[in-house]
Amino acid sequence: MIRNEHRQLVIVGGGAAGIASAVKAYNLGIKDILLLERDRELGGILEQCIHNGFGLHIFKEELTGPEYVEKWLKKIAECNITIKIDASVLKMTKDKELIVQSPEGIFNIKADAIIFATGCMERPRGAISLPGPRVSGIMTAGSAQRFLNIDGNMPGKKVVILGSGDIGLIMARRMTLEGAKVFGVYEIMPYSTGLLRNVIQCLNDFDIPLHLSKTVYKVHGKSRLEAVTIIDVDENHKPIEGTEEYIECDTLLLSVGLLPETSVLEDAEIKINPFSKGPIVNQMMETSLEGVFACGNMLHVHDLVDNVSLEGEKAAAGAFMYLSGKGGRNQERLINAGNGLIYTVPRTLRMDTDERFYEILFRVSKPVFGKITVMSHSKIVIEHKSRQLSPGEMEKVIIPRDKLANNMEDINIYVEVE
Amino acid sequence: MKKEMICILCPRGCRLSVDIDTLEVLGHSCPRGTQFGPQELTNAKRMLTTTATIVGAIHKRIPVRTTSSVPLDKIFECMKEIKKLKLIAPIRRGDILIENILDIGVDIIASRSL
Repeated sequence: MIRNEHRQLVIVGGGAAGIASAVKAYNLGIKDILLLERDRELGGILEQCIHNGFGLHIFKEELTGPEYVEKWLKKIAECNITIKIDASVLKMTKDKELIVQSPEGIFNIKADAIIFATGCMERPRGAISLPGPRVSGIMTAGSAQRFLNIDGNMPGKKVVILGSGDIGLIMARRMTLEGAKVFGVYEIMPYSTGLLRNVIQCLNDFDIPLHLSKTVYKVHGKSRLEAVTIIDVDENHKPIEGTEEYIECDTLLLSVGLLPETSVLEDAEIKINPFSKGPIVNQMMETSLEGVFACGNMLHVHDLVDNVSLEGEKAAAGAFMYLSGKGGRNQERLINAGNGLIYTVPRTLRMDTDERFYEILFRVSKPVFGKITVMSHSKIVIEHKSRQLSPGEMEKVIIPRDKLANNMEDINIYVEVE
Repeated sequence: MKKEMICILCPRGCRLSVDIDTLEVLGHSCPRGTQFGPQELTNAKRMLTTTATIVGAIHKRIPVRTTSSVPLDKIFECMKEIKKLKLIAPIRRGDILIENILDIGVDIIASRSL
């Protein structure tokens, strides 16, 4: 027989977002909290991110991933929260019932409110159509990071990295430190998609070349990867014939983007924003299903873990409001990602709260020198100074409530290029 | 003469211009940039983070780091020393694993408890 349980608040995912939302929810006064984590310990992806650079905003010091987690674990230990590890959510219904698999068996949990904090996944080989045989030695940069940093197994000796995302850059340095030869990082775009500081301290420091407007065209090998063919691409990312270059290697690491992990949400028909790939939320981080909240990298992919934690706290505050009987999604106005923007989080604003400021996060679609502008009721509400904007860095605007007219007109955010 | 560089102390990545003779820094947006520029020009230093072998814990590796940044050209020598470590759980975050590595005034500490 399947066991049934009832909980006031269930948090799915025990990484940076989930831990922060659990602590916040408890401190706000929610006393019946269950935190579910599918791995054997809390911490999420941070446990394998052994490099430093985390926590500058929240703790005012530069921490490694595991140190950042441990500081949060201290906070969560002071709260009376039920934590289940090795527990995966298999399915959710529209009535906020979760089917959970754990070492104790499969059970149902009926929740009054749910916060999803399931993080993101790396785009795998299948997402980028990489022609060639299914050889071993091709893996995402994050998988290699786990093999090396958690399990202590070296994924290979002669390495090519496709994609200049931050994890790829970090792994270029990490593999070099452990004795591998990293031939280069190949990026299909004409610019690096990772942070400049990582290009310097992970590539330049170790004389690892970064090749732009190039991609892996073919992989070669029988059972293990033996070589890759690199090719130049034109401005439409089309391969340019005659520019092929053959590089012998045993490992190809992919760092070609991250996607929010939303599969369970889709079962319950929660609306997904096709541009952020995460659920559509209001400023309470509430999804299209009332009482279900989302935060962290499953909502949209962040650059800084501090912002993930802060978003977890926002979702907890939203859940607390909902559980206090102040929910409701009837009075909402739309925020549109206009010219130059990919998406905004939140996508809608609930106007029946007593907030005085709204924080809107977004990404621009390509590197541009321009000014972020907020327009509502055909008037410019906010105009930033022109500066360099990059898709690699999350941007934000703070809109004071009193700058918005008292109507339900859409709010448009766009980049004005001079 | 001026040397152009990117400050790597935070994700902001300020573009610094450092005068090679006077070590005067331009382009920084916080005081840390005025220290980073001359340091990078004369003796570039980096934090080192890696892992060490551990037994008796749920994982086989424990993350470790230097207590402060070390000269870039000493990084691989530090790695060699850290590879010699064979640790036994329990280890607490912050435990000193190698004191004053290579006599450069920097310790190697555990960056998590295991």
